[in-house]
Amino acid sequence: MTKRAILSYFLLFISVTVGLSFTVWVSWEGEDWYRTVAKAYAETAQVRVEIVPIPALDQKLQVGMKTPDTLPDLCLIKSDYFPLVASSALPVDSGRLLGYAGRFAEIGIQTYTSGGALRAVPFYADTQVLFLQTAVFEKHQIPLPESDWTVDDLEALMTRLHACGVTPIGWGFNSPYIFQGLQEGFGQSFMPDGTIRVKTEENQGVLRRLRSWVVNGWFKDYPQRPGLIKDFSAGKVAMIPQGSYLIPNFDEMEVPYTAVPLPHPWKSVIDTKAWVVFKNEVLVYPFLSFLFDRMEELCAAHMKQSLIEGIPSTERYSEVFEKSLKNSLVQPSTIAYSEGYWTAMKACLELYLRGEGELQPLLSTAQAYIDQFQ
Amino acid sequence: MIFFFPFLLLTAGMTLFPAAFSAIAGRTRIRFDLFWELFRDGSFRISAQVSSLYAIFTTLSVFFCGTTAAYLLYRLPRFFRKAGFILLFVIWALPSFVSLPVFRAMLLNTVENPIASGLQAFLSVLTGRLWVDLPIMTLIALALFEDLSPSYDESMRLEGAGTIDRFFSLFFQIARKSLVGYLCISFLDQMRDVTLPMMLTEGRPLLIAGFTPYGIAGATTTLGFFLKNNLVDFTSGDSWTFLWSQNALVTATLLASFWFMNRLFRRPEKTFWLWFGLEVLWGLFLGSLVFLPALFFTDWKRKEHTYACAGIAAGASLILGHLSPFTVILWVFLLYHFFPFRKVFDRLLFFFNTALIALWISVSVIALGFLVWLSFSGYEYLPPFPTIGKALENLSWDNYAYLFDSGFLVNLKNSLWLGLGSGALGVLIFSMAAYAALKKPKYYTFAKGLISITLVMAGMNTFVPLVQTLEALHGLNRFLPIVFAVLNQSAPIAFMTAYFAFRQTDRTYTELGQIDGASRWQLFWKILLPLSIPTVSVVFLYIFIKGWSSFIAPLLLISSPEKYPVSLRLYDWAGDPGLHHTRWGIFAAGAILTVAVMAVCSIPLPALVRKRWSSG
Repeated sequence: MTKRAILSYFLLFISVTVGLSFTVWVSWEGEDWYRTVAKAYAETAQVRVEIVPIPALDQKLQVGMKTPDTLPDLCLIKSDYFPLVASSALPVDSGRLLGYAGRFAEIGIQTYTSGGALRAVPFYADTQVLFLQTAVFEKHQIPLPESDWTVDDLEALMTRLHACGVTPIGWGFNSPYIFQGLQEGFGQSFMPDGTIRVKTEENQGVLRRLRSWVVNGWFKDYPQRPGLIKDFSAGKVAMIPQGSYLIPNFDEMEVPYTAVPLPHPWKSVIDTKAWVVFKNEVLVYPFLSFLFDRMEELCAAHMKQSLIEGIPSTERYSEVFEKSLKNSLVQPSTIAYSEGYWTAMKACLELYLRGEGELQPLLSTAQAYIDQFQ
Repeated sequence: MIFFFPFLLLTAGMTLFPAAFSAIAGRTRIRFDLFWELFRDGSFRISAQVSSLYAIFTTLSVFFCGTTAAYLLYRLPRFFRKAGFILLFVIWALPSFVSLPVFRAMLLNTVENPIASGLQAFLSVLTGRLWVDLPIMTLIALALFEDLSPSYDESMRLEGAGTIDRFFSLFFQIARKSLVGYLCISFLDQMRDVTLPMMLTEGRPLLIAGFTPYGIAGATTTLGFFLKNNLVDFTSGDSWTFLWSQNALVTATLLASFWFMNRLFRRPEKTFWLWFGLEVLWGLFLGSLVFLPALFFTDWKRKEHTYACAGIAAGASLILGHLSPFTVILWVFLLYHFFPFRKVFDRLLFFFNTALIALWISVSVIALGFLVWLSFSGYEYLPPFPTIGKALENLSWDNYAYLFDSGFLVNLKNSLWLGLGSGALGVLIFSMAAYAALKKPKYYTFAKGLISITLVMAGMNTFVPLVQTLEALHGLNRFLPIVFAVLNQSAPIAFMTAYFAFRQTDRTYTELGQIDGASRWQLFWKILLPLSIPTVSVVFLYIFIKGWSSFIAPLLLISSPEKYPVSLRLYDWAGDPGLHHTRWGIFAAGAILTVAVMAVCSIPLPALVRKRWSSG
């Protein structure tokens, strides 16, 4: 009797095995939307699509690249993951994307071309903007900045906010995601040939300026984003530079806010996403076409900028996004950027902005670290 | 030999073979100049220093607090003792991928920025380690105290010794003598800890001396976390030479630390020159100058000489600006042997530990309540502590419903396979090895040697060559390497438990079996194993829990989401501190379900097996 119970116990668990026929790895926002579309596609095309959300996609891809058999059929990536997957990705066969061939934005094509072929299907982009906590501005009767403002105007605004007892601006000290917009706005570190040079006069100027913001009490460090969102919602910090993907979250949390373009010459980082096809092209392309047909919903719900011409992006904040795109920076898609620059600058920024080291040696070490990858 | 062979294959195969194979597999070139460069590199030295300090503070604080907690429990009335025991067991049973994110959430709600300074970050990880490790130390010490005859305590009480005096004179001394081996193992384990710095502080805040072209180390970067970070960052092209060299360096450091610690605790009078040589080497030969005064204090039979050398080592650390693991080990030895010190200090320490225990109880109760509440809430970003009025608002079963819709059952099944596979294979391998060791003492000696290698080697420093080897052999993304990794880590306790259980069985039965002409296999399978079922079921349970809770091995070796155990799934929702899109409510629901399933599988299992075999 006991043996039968144990055997039944085993068989019950063995039976809980899901059969997968077509796998799609997704990340970031829109998981529910992907599932809805996958379900609708399954009903229409009688092909089952397994949507698998992967929060820390870069780490999974690093392990997955060692075992190509385990890669999904289709995977949503961002530009800095592209060097990791480019060699395993199948070249894009635009002809199979019914009605969408030739409609991809130039930014997307340039970012995802490798070895002379387009290797990922451009999908959407997130734009960096500056979020303002409007309740704080109203309370202290400070007018909101104009859309064509400058970094000098930003410093004047921070002075006023600081005098009112509010933390003017906040983000993670060690965030290259935010820093690179300033870096490329005031100078150039990402060279046209793909190399990266961080030890430049302009970078030193930018870093000294950021350090002065810290010393003045204008710029607060938030090591993790949840803490930043919490304080912004509560009105403890007046401005945060972040991606447009946060807009639905702020709406849901009923935070009083508005979004403005980053002050000139601070560039807005365009964070593009694209679909990489690893296998099963015959099944994947019709699904992608089906997805693109409904993409407008995703863009509207999650404030995305479509990289496919003719598919409207969200109307909300369209002027802000337009202005941001005019002063924008597309993240490089090289190994030196994703593995070298990102790690080295995280350390350099954290140490310098916390006042723990001298600028020249830190930038020299960062450059030496990056040089191992280029 | 055939009974011992699987055990030999497992321990040697999981520790020595990957190191050798990865060196000769063609992707790695041995470069002695690189070794020297890496040995001098700031990121490595910072990690070694942080590891040593982390190890000494965590090991000693857990030991002192745990023995105090055990003593207090021992003296409590039965009802409170049972309640305390249940709380300890529940916290101990929480896997690290559940307990640490919860602790981090509580920390972020309490302290504005846990990594605002190096000291604050270091204290955060120390507190986390104390919270996680206190239960097992308390339970072990309590078992020792309960074995003691009450007459000893009673006679001391009648002689006028107070509560605290009796603790330090009797109970603490018993714990100290019985747990010296456990303390040494714990010290080495903390030096290569990965999970806690990874989940709480990500090794931050960074230190200027730890930022080099070869790595990045901060105030909470242990050697294990340092290796894990570099394994993730440097996994392309020619980096394998660098990774292998760095890994070999860390392994050499751990081996040297183990060798020194072993000699120091066994034969301190013959350890001076070993210590001196290691310090001079660590000091990059400049250390020979500042350590010269130590040559006047070579007779470590005399404690004044040992004290003097510890003082010289402390001074040298200040002058040279670095701390070696060997100096820290010397301080551990001195604290172990010459404590307690004075009555006033003892009393202060006792009350301080009691306060820490009270804090531990509060944190544990709040953490469990917070986890349960969170599983019914809809929080994605950092959840605040609810006020009493708001705690019952907007609660729902949505998170649990999402778990079933998102295929969490598959992850539970994967964890179950890992646990059951590890448990079944482990019982077979370790029982067979224990049987072989029982029959021939030379196998027991050999087994102890292999276990020592496993104790020192099994950790993050084993994973780097293991990943290289598996990649070359196309063995990544499979469950079997994870099972072997779990078995390798379980080997010391599992083998010794099985061996001592077999040794205590009545030999009459095996002798009778031999007379009846039973083969060795029949003696093992039909006589010895059934007689030892209660202990063997405990070994099975121990390995099952280790397999179920495995986290680092799947994190590094599994890439297919359909093969994720629950640990990786939960990590993806809120375990990773670097996540930008957390889902705390779903994490909590998954955590509750994980612990419930583990409890259902593990609690009735030994009773079921014992009932079956005792009736059969």
